[in-house]
Amino acid sequence: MERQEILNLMNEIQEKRGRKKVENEEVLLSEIGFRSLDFSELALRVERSFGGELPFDAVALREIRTAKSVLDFLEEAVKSA
Amino acid sequence: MLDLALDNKIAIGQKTYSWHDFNSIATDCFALISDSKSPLAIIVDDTNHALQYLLSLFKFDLDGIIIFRTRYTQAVEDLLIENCYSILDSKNSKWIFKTDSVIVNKRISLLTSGTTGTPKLIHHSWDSINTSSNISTINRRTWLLPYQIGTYAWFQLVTLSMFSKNQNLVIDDVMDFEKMFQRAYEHDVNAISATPTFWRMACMQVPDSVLKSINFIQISLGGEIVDSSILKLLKEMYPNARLTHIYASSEAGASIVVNDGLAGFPESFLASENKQSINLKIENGILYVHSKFAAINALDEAGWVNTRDRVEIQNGRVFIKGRADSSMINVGGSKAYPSDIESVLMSHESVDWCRVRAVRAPFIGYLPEVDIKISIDSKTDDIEKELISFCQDKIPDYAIPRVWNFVTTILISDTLKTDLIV
Repeated sequence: MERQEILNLMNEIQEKRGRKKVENEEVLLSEIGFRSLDFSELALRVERSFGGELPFDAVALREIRTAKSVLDFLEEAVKSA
Repeated sequence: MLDLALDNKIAIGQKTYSWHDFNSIATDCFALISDSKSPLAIIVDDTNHALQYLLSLFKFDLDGIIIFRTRYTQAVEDLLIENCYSILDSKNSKWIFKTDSVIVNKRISLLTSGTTGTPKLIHHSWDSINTSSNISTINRRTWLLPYQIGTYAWFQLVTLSMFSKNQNLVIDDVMDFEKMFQRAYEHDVNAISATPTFWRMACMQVPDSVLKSINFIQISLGGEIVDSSILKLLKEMYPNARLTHIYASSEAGASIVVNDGLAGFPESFLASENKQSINLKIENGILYVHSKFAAINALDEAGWVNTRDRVEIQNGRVFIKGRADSSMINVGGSKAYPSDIESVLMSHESVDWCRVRAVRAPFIGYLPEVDIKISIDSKTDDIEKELISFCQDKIPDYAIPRVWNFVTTILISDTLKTDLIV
């Protein structure tokens, strides 16, 4: 699954919730209102899109602060799933 | 009659006891409850009291339930009194409520809130709650026990230690993950039974070096859906451990044991009666269990327990997909009620019908999912966005559905339950 597809899904969630889309990957999640529930929804959409289960990398999860880190995490998770 | 494994050790905090020790230190408990004429509910704050009273219930063949203090609500007290229980507070050995007027049934009971949040009593016998009786050979194990007092999973390990030789326990009443693993190391723990959420929390809070310092040879998982990501994580972290996941509930008992390291269970389990006298079947997508370990008051006329868990068969394996009639969804620790969500959605002029349920979601456990039929007269371009916005000031954010399935027809099935065509 391509990074752009994951970003599109992330922006769909933002849009449905009436929030700003991600224009700059360095943006802090707290600035665009993207929270753990949104992250879980995004991960679920990614899982459904590629038809598998994402692995759980606790250390990487702890580091998530920006849109970039969300995309990095999910891109990597899809690759290793 | 079951025999106590008196020499098994139980490490609680800094002290270590044997069941033999508990036989001596529980004499005050024995004196207090041994001549009870009614079912007994014992409210406890810690493992030490829980085990002393549990031993007392066993020793005098009494009808009772052990309730952890945080679960003792007004609704629970009402339920106990309604069911003629005498209620004892173990903290001061005082009776909160006492009755002498009923026959004792020799049951050991559990409290479950099920999916509704409404407390319910589930009754077992010592034989049905002690599932270790089914295992012919049990190697020496020291188990880390992280479950809350009085839960079904807690009983599984406690009864294992009570009745099976060479099964020791390490218990900490304070849920401090790092401390728990350090104590596990000190006590040479080599086995654990815990939920996937326990492991996810532990991985977030405990350094890898501490986690990997434990030489687990047996890891049992249960209490929640076990997916392949958690199995993979544990397999990598503990390559020498046997990974077992167990499908169990207070009502159905421990019913399915899977040792092949894969999520779900083999479809072949449905086909024939297995050695443990447990039968499984699927009806209308729901799993049913017929087991000698099931609760006394959870059976239908033919002896089956409707687990209310939705299952799906994929590539020869059966996967648990979530609750069929979930009345409560645990969204990362917050409780969302489908009936509340449905009622808000139904108040929107474009909604003809909807049904909300839990869907398993990565990292957080569950999210609300809705099947929804929109009126053909609806003029809104983006109905999903419109409904999310409509919900926003009416229900908490975590309760707003995250997965929306728009359906076109609602059908009524033979069982007179709503069914649908997507």
